[in-house]
Amino acid sequence: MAQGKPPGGGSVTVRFVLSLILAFIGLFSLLALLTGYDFIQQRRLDDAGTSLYLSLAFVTFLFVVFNIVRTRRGFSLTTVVPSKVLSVVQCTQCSFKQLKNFALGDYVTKAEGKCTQCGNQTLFVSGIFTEAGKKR
Amino acid sequence: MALPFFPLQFPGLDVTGPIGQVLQILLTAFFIGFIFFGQKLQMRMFLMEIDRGLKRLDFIRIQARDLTLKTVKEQGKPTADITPQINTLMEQFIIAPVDMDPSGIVRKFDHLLDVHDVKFKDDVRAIAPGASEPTLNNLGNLVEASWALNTIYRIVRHFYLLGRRTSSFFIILQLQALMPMVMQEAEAYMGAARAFAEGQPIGDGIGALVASRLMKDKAQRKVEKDVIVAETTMEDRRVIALKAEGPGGNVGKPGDAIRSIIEENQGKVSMVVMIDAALKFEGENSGDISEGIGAAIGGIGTERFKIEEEATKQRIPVYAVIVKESILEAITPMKKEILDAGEKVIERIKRLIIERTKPGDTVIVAGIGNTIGIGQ
Repeated sequence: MAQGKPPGGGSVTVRFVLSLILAFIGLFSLLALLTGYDFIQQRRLDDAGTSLYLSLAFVTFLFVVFNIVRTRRGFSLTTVVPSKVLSVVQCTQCSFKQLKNFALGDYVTKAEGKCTQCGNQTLFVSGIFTEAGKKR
Repeated sequence: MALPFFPLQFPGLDVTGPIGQVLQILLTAFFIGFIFFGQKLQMRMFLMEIDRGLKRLDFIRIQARDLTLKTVKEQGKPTADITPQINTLMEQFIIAPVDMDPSGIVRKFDHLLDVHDVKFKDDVRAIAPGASEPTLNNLGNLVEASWALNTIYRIVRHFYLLGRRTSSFFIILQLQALMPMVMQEAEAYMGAARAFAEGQPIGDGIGALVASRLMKDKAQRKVEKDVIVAETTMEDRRVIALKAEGPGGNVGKPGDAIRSIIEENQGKVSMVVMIDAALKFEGENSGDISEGIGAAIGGIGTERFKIEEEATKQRIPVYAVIVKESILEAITPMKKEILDAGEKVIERIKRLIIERTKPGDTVIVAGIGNTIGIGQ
């Protein structure tokens, strides 16, 4: 029988390396942006050169940010963690109500025996629900 | 502001200089290249995305199959290795009847589904001889969830490979556009498999839960296939509540049951109210209730057809009360807001009964949906 393994173990590593490269390019483009700003301050460039220089740096930086966000989303494409399931135990004769962890064999209307509050054999499971699932 | 400490001081880009010219050539080449190869590039990106989704689908279906094997071994106490039988069940199919002459197609579909149900249950019984009837139903549902995941994976893989082999941009584009919905459905089936393995009520069971509350501690009898009926009173009206027989995973045949109750009470039934879970639109809240007219029941349509036919024949109005939920919520363990909607649904039924019937009338209240984890 084939065993389940995490999705794309190899591709996760590749994506991690790509992210590192992207981060490096991002840093490089950020420095380029600052340098371009520095050039403007020192008036070392003509208008066309400054625009081209800053545009390239800006577009590169945006591209890197966009790709890192995409890669992060790829990493977080995950399973819904099995959430906690609770059984509501209620008494039909008094106001007694209690929440307990769902146990295998529990079902709605299942008799749960004696009520600790009124002493009657009127406890039953009135509902079973799950707490909101969290994404990993 | 001078920044002399910067390690990277780029040379001034004079557009007429050599670096500027190289950059211009690169940009022009990129622009022209993108015109010719843009679609190819986009296709490659789409294929990578689909490939990622496919790997995830494969992972999910293997998880579901492992869970099925483990649960059947634990709860069904098989005497031999059941892997080959499970693999056979994963590949099963139904051939839909010919619809060139649609007359009588519902009867044909009904017959096919009956044969499928009987055979499927026998197959599950064969791999789980030690399981009780409710457990057998749960295991049947679990195998069906695994089957659904396996089928989704096979279909997606088919179109992915077909698109890649033929380099058809439009096959790949459609598949890529559908992938988020496919993944959501697959995750939902995985959640369903976990719920079925443990016998927990799912969101789809809200109709059955409401009927179960109405019939609690009342005399019950079985009508038709796997449907339980009990009589109660509500606002001086005689209410006949029905639901699939629980707590095992079961939907029963409510169409047959409603028809037989209407025939039993010839001319006395004034109204049929059907309670079911319904898919919400994005932006709507789970657990919200809506009222409408018509038979609220999903599936292939055979049960709805029977209810509509009988109601029309006897001129009985059919009302629907639905609880809104997403596909994920419908087949995963019931959320609190859906459970809480149960009481509000009963209030709606009361209001409907008061408004649309007279004291002494007979009303059928049908709780539709999978009754897993819900007794009566």
